[in-house]
Amino acid sequence: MLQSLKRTSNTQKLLLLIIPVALLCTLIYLLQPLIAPFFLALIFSYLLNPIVNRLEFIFQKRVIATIALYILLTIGLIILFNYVIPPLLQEFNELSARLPYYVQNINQWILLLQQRIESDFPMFKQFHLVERVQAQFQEIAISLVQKIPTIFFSTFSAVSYFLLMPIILLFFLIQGPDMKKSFFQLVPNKYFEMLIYLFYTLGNQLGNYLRGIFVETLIIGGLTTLMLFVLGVDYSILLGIIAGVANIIPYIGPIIGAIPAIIVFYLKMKTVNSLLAIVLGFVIVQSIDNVILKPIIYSQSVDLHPLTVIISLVAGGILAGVWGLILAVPFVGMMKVLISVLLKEIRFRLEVNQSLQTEGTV
Amino acid sequence: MSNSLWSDIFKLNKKDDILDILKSIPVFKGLSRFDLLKVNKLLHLRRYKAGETIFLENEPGESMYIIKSGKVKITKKNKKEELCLAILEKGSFFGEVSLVDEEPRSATATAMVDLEILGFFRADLMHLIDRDPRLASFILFHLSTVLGKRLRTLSERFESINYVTES
Repeated sequence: MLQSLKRTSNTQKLLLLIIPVALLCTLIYLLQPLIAPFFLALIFSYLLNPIVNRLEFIFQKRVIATIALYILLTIGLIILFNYVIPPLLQEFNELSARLPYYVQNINQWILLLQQRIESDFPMFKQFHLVERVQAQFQEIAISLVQKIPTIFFSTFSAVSYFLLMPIILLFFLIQGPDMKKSFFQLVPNKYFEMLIYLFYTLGNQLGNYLRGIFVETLIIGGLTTLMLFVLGVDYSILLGIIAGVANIIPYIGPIIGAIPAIIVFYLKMKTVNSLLAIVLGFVIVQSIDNVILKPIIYSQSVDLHPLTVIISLVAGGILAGVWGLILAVPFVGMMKVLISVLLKEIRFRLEVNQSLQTEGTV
Repeated sequence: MSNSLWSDIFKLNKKDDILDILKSIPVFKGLSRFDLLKVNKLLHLRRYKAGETIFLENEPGESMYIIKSGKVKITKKNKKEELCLAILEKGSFFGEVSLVDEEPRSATATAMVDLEILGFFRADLMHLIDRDPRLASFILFHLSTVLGKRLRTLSERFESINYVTES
């Protein structure tokens, strides 16, 4: 009788757990359009929180500090839309107008390569290797070019984003600390300390990583643009930005970012010297990144084994495409912290249980 | 009904009560009312039932606690025996070592009666260094004074024990 009571109470507990979770999932599914601006506001709040903290030190009130930051951001956006976006759009238009010329040239190179390979190794003719690679390459290239605008604009275009995101962000920035405090009040006494520690460590890691990426992208984008401008490469701002953004992806990113600029420059100059010059330029920028920037920027955030980074990159790419590549490393870093903290806690609880049990037997 | 109405009107008094407690704690000694209000914003109010454990010995520790109301027993295990180190009452604080060091807790704290305590976390202190370095360094200075005093008492006690055993 007692057992059956216990059992029903367990199933009841389970039901009590499942019903709210199911309701929450349905709600999240229904409110899908709201999630992205919410998520974006969260990321931006991590990026901007230290700036608000510093400003709070000057203005003493968090509300005034946040308003001051919004004013600064508005000035920044005005400058961006007046001086950076117009030449960028012009470069983008010119480049897309000349895209067939570049594609034709790349095809010619591939054809040349094919002929050389087939003359050197006749056995490859049977496999139609080059045709296959070419077909694959074209497919990837076309889908990528088609996707570039959608990757950025599908996530940012809706008007609701531009209206909702800043408002949500405003509340996150002003009331972030209070919100966290109210949330912690719901947590049972037993897990309360661990959860605060977890929140703090994860927040720090994520914040440091995001800010690190932001600063690195800005500096590398700026340096690459400057380098391309000095060498006289066309579309230097656009290609610099591509290199800066691609740089977020570890290991393969810098190569992906350099290829378009190298192709554009080589097709303009058509000399081996120019090819050497631009490759040297990219090597210098990457050396600055690896020797000076990375050690300073990432000293306080996630340290992962290179193999872990590569595997998580590949997995991220397979699961979620370009966003997967960008988000893989911070996600795995957070998982690492989460697991290590939880393991520490579980080990401690197990030890306590064991000592209690041995006391019981004694 | 009338009670809750009055308590709402005198909510300010409640805050003053907390501020009075904070003022009496060596770690927040000499802070202005404005600074104490800032500290108050960082504190987490927790309620414990009689007999509930606040933290266990050897548990990873992250915070210092200030007793708002109730009694806390601090105990330490010594070869299966439980030694009672102290019984703390309203206005006392414990666990302050965790604010500066990441070692596990050195003793167990248990609520003796229904209890209200205010938790002050290392994480919040670290954030305070960014947000208000003046206030944070003030608190850290007083914290080190408290720890220094304790070290002095301990070494004096150690010396006297040494003296007794030698003689």
